[in-house]
Amino acid sequence: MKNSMFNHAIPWQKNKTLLVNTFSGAIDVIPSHFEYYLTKATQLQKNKITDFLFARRYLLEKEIDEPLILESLYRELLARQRKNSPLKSVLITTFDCNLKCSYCWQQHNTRSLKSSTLSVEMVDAAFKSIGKLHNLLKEKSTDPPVIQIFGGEPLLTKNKELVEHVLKKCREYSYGSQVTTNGVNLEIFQEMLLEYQVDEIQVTVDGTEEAHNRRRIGSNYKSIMNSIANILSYQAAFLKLRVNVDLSNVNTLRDLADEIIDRRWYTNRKFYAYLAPLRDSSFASTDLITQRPKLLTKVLELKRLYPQIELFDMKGWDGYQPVRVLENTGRFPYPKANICDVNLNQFVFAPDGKIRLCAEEAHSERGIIGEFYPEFSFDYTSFQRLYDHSPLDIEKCKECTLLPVCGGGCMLMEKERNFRNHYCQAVKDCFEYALTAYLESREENCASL
Amino acid sequence: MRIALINPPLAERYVNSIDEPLGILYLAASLQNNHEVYLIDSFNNLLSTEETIKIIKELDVEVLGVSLIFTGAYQTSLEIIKTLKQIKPSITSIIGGNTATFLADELAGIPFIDYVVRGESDISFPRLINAISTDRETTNISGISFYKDGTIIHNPAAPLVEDLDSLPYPARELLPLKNKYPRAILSSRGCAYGCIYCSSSAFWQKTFRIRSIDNIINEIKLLNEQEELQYFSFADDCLTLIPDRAREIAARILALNLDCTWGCTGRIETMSEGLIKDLADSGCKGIFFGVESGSNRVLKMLKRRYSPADVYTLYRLCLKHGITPYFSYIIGLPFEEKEDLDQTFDLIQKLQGVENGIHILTPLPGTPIFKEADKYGIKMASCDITNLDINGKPLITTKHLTAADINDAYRKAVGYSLKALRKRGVQ
Ligand code: B12
Ligand code: SF4
Ligand code: SF4
Repeated sequence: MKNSMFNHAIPWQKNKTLLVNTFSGAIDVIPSHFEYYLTKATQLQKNKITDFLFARRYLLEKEIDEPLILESLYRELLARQRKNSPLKSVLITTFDCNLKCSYCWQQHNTRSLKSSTLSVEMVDAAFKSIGKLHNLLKEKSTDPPVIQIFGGEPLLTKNKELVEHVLKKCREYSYGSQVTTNGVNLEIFQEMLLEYQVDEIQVTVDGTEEAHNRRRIGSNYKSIMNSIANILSYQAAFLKLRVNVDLSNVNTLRDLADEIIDRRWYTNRKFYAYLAPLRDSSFASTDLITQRPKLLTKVLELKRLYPQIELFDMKGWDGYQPVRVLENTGRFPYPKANICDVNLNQFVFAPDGKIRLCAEEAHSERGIIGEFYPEFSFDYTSFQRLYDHSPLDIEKCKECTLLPVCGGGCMLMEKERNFRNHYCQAVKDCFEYALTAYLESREENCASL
Repeated sequence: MRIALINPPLAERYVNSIDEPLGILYLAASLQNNHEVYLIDSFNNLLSTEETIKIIKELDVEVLGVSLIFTGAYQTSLEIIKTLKQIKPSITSIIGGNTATFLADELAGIPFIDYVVRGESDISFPRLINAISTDRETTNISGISFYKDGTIIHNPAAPLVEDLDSLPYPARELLPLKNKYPRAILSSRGCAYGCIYCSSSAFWQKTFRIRSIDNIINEIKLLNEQEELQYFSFADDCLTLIPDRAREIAARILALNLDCTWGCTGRIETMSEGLIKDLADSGCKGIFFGVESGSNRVLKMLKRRYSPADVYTLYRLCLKHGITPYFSYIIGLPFEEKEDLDQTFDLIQKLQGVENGIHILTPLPGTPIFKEADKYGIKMASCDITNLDINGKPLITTKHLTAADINDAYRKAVGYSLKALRKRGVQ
């Protein structure tokens, strides 16, 4: 008998422990002294308690190789996801931006870059490479490739012709199209986006008018909201509203939800709003990561007080995500096989003519897997290394009881690793808080039934 | 004569579907043998008022018939008629439909409206058109309202169609993009219930008339021959009003052996597992139910013969048989107190994984709460007709709730509803 690698113990009420196996999804409240049986698993005699722990898969047969099973599950899950993922080409049309958000990673990273904007020839070259890349991928969806128009800020007035050129190309090739924008120029671009029947537009706000205009200097909240209303009235493009939150604007969520409900956007099937915890990818400080558990606690507390905040989905919050799935489906999710789209058929085309897999590293020398301009070239080995990256590849993650719920760290961003301890603490705290809160609310509900 | 029938744009569009405008399709069917009829379906084709006007202008018609069914189309309907009258004063402007019927007095007094046709118009409208086209007297036609010599005249109500089977099938071939529309079938007209917030009973003169099942099945068969039906919906106020009839319709649809699914509206107290199973077996995939409240007390006041527990059972049964129920609630009901609202929130949260409609009680023209607001203890803020919108801002206060209370509860209900929707239904 041995202890499973993924038993995660959380202190519960007096003398009790909440035991979770993050791989199997077993959850039990056990008398705290049972924990002893887990730590000493190899030396134990069979008894009632070990039978129970065994039946719930906290204790396992010695021969069971959990990393091996997990690895093959990862492969299977990835294959399944890839079969649902069309080839997605992220075009970093430009690194330039019309805002100066203090927390933006690109600002700090792209200032010294030589080439900051794609040329028309480069766009054409990118479209030509997409066909070749498409043939390289073995596991992919049968849907046509999707172009994500990305930046910097893609919707800059000086790049209007470039954006239109990309949209024309999408039409010519019958590719899907998405735009990720800060919304500053949405008013100017909306007609073009509607005319070319863009499939999806993602716009970001930072809370209500006051909070948004204060933080996103140069952006006009009212103009963004009115443009969104106009776009939605055509019921054509999917509109994703991303709401950045941190402790300083979290209290505006209720008013923002009220405004969206009053505008009746939620009745539009083409509308989706979600909360994105602010992250400081410039790595200037660890504050935002350290605040994460407090932020989650606050958001969940606000949701209880003001249910309208439920309007905002909370997909992808590290540590909270598995609890969200448990809450919504009654089941603990499968292990998280990937933390981003790098292993899901995504290619990034940057103004330096290089092809990468990660958009957040589009400015750096790391992670280059090929070139689309001036000539097409492709380094299959570098591609494979990133594409087939498994959460078990990182030493520290391999040993972590939270690996199945976390998905592990990033292998590209060295800098992130320097902050790994803060990050891991945040994942742990968020997971533990959310799970306990969920189970407690269920207990309350059960008592009232 | 050249006639344009208009389904006007609405101030706000809340539905995400395309729906056949059956009212004007039926009227067009009755007219098209003798006249040149054009349909402009602005609501479904997302045409603006200006675009609608431009099209009508280009068609250069002699008669303009606007279908003012929804209060939300009040302003746009008037703008369309007014502008066209200015462009072409000789055009005859006619307005009909639910909202037009109950506001006939006001509308008939508007100088640019020539006639209001009230209620069911399958008999009266063709009569009016024939009289106009042959230059005969129109003032004796029943069911119409008009302005003459300084007074507004409301002729007596038109006779109702006695035998619905005698009507031609809707003139779907006149629809723009005619193959894009999921088909709608109307198997009956009227409703027997008379809910306080609904005008159906008043509109159809408190009658409930049905088509023969042969007639309905033939329409479905015909559509399937024409275009291989994939989905259709019954536009009836309540398809399950007579449960045995609904079961028979289902059995006959099943016998057609179509590769097609369908949806309808049902009334909770008429449902049974047998009925649900029959509907599901014949391809029914979705049913709309008005739940209205999660409070037993309020449901009793509404004279409903079901409890929140029955709604839960119904929900389970629908899911069991592969039907997705769609539930609708009203916030601000006359008898509703804060505790009742809490019970509604509870029910919303229990019915997981399904979509809900959350609405605000709004006295629409022709409804009991509009006609007798005092009796129900409702005070109404003054507003434009267009703003009378069950999805809009609260315009009422009740004995127990202020407009602010209602708005607050509405927002909460929306939140709970979205939360419940994310959850997988308990099977
Ligand atoms: C199908 C339906 C829809 C469909 C399509 C509507 C359409 N354009 O046909 C859709 C899904 C779009 C819809 C939506 C809504 N609906 Co609806 N809907 C119906 C329903 C159940 C059937 C309509 C129908 O086909 N009737 C059958 C035909 C034959 O009758 P008719 O349309 O009334 O037409 C006859 C007469 O009115 C007249 N007539 C009609 N047009 C014209 C024009 C001229 C020139 C003349 C002379 C005569 C005339 O002659 C026709 C033949 O006799 C009716 C209830 C009902 N039974 O009528 C509600 C009804 C029309 N809907 C209603 C409501 C409240 C709504 C919503 C607001 C609800 C919501 N979910 O939020 C939304 C509004 C949508 C939005 N803003 O986005 C109310 C309207 C109340 C009001 N005063 O506004 C009704 C009356 C239901 C009720 N009993 O309360 N609805
Ligand atoms: S990133 Fe940290 S929390 Fe996540 S699996 Fe790796 S070690 Fe564990
Ligand atoms: S709401 Fe439905 S059940 Fe009630 S009277 Fe109107 S049509 Fe009938």
